[in-house]
Amino acid sequence: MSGSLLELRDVAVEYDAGGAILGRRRKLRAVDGVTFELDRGATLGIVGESGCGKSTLARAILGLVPLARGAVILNGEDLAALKRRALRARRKTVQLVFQDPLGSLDPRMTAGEIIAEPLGTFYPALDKTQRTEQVRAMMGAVGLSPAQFNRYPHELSGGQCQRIGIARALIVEPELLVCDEPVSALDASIQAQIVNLLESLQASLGLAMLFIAHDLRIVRHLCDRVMVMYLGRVMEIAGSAELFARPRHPYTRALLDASPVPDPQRERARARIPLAGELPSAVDPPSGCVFRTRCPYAQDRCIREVPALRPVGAAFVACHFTEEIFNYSIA
Amino acid sequence: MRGVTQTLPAAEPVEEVIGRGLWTDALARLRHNRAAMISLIVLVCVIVLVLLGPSASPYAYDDTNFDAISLPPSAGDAHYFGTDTLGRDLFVRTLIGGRLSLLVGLVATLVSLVIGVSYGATAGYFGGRVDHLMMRIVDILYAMPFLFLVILLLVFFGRNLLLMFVAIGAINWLDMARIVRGQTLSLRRREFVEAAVVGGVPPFTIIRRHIVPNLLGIVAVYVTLTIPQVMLVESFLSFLGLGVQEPMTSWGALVNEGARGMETTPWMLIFPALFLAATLFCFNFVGDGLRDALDPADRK
Amino acid sequence: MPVIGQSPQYSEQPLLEVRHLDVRFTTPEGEVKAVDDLEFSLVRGETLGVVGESGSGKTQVAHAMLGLLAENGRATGSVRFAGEEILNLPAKRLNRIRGAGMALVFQDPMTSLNPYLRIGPQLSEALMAHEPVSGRQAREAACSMLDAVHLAHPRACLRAYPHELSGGMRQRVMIAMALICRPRVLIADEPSTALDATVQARILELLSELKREFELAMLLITHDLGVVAGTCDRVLIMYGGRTMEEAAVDDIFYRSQHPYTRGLLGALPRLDAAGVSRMAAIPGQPPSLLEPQPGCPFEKRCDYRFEPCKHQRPPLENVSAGHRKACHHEKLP
Repeated sequence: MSGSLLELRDVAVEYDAGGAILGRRRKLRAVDGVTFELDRGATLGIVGESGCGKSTLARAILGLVPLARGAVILNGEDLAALKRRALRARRKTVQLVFQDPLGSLDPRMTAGEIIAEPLGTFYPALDKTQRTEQVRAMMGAVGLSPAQFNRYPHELSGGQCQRIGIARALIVEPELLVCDEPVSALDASIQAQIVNLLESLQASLGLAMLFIAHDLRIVRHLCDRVMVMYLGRVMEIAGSAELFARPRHPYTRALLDASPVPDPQRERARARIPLAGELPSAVDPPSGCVFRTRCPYAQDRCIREVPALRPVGAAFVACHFTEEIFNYSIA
Repeated sequence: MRGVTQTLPAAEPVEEVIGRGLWTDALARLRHNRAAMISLIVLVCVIVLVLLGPSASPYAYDDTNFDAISLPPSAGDAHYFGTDTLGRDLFVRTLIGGRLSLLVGLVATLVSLVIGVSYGATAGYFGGRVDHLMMRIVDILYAMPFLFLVILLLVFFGRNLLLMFVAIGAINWLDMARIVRGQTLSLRRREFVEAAVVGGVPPFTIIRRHIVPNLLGIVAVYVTLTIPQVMLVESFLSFLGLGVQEPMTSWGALVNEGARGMETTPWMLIFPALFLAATLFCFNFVGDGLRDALDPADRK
Repeated sequence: MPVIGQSPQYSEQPLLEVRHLDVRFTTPEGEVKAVDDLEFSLVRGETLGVVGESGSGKTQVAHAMLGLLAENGRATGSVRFAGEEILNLPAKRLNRIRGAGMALVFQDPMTSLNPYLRIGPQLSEALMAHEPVSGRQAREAACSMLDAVHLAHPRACLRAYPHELSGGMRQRVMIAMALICRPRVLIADEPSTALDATVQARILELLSELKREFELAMLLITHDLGVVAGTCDRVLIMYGGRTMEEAAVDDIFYRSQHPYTRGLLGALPRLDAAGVSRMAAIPGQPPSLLEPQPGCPFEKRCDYRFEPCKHQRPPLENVSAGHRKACHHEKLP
């Protein structure tokens, strides 16, 4: 228990879905009953399609959205129990890298000012020269040239902006880095640069990392473990190699199937089982298993009973029938 | 500082550069807008003339001369715009009136700017109940017939310049607060504000450092459009005889006087009206130009 | 004379033929050449993938062909559709070709549908603008087209507003709208980029299916080589407004002769690769079109660069039948 850096216990997050004045309030449950632990230096990938609650979960961990239920425990401290000022100080431990490289940078500040800002709030004792020195060192570490210190974000490319975002997050020496789709807005050739940068920074700094993505291919490169989410709930958690070799949830399988293979011959030979139907509304989710409306294997029990996340071999799966569907020899 | 390995080739080293901010960009674009630039030049000319012109004339604005009543414009005796019914030099009076009109415009706009931006940004940033309460207050104030109130105040307390500045400013900050609040609401959802929260920046510092600077574009546009609006309100009050006290004058007051003798002494109307109209035009053109220059949709 | 770059199995008259296409934009910072001397052709039943990163000019190619360039843009060269020159035609004549000849599917289905109109009228309007049909006939056509793109309840969809549909459904509506006038060429500009992985796979599958069903020629514009592998017959790789390599899809993936194509392939994250290794990134930043290079646009980021690359523009040369590349190296190791 004390060993883990971050622990989530049955976390749920709700939003108002309108109807506040007339009629009863409708709640949209963006995240529902998420539980996991993350050790120091470990990497966890969170995968799912839009509306699965992965970004909301990241914001809940950072204390940017209130929890409807459950607890986020960081270094043994329950974040909800902290006062606002103490929470602000604790922010140093967890930092966030955003999806939109340009949108996450204040357009009226220079690269140097942006990277220095958290330094100013968490280490007010530093004088200007010390601060500048640290910013320059950090810029070097993320592959920015010191000449870009006075550049404004709109003068830089998307990849360079994302490097600024990473530098800003890392300059306060966090223990956990949450990356919310950090490369999905970047070009293919730049994506690989940023993924490699994150990979080497994570290794050399011993960072724990939560990597949120919709692209399974990138998660596989970066993460030890992967958590698959659908409509606010966890479908499967497993070691990265295990999950990609032996998916144990029909949804994981569908995600893997949908990922294009950059190999024309294998792509032609491949038979896909496309996922039918549309994502149900989170305001009015299906009873039982939330995936049942699109699951090719759904049965009566899936309508009645919410499947619990249970250990199946080396993985945790929320499916009643995983053994019947995927008859891997579970050793 | 730490054992961070340099894993990626940095971009080719170049000499230290000063970045080009959004404002520099916008001003460069504004410079290409001919109407706005001409307007800006005209405005500067008007301001310089208004500030320096009166001392170049041998007459003072309140010098009456009963030997020179209602003279038409002539360069010979330095009555460039002619004289009024009391023989006062209209050139000097127009410029002195301009000082007052512009001053009202600037001061009242400044009042509305300071109140409106801080009020609107606070309401928009905190949102929820704070926002509700603050904006309902604005709604209530909106419901009051302000111009009527101003007229009542002026009638009751007598004509008082300070009162007029404050009264006009107090009407306009409501608009400003609404505009700023709307902008803040959308800015607050931007990722860079979230990044500042994650970076531990306290709320009022976020408003000061991240919200307000990003509002300045729209505020600048609104200011250039508010100044002429305020000048018009002043003119209107002066036209009703509620503005400045004689012998002090403003463009509105001069137009009012001039309109009375429109048939016999047209110069008394034409010159102040010309100045007023030109200034209003120019402010509007500059405002439009600024809006185009700052429009992010135009960025390519 | 055989058309350059055409795969041998297609010998008929090309449906779409682009030659020496240049697209220039006048900006306050100076003139920008977004597309530089582009050349390709497309025959019936063929899918050509145009692959490039942001700023490569791939979208401007589609816009130039359909006369949709921004006001400050100018296209020169030749675009022939079924033998007829269509580049820079007056809007009235171009309108006849848009829709019935060539149709476009945009990247973002939400912004290209009118949010205040139901789907039905938007679809039938598109048809009635081009063909003398009655309202009832148009509605029927719209309904059967929605059925063709596999929307579950076509009649209900006709009465729906765009915001009532999911992203994938909206993209299906957009495809139905593009196909309702039975075009012969379909240009799809990143049709699946804004969509989730599982939805993307279904949209690509649908496009392939419709291509066979309606005997379309398709131009698939994308930044994702992974998407190209399963859908395209031929691929054209663009960088900095120029063609880097053009070949049959297998040649691109297995026998590429251009450093940029190889770089892109290396930078692709893969699920099928055995073991987890570092991704091979292409170093450096994308080129600025404001400062064009006299030589190869990829020179600064290329591992194989040598003297001529800096000053001399590499010509587009045949490697083998139907395989062209623009690189000074005879042969890459």
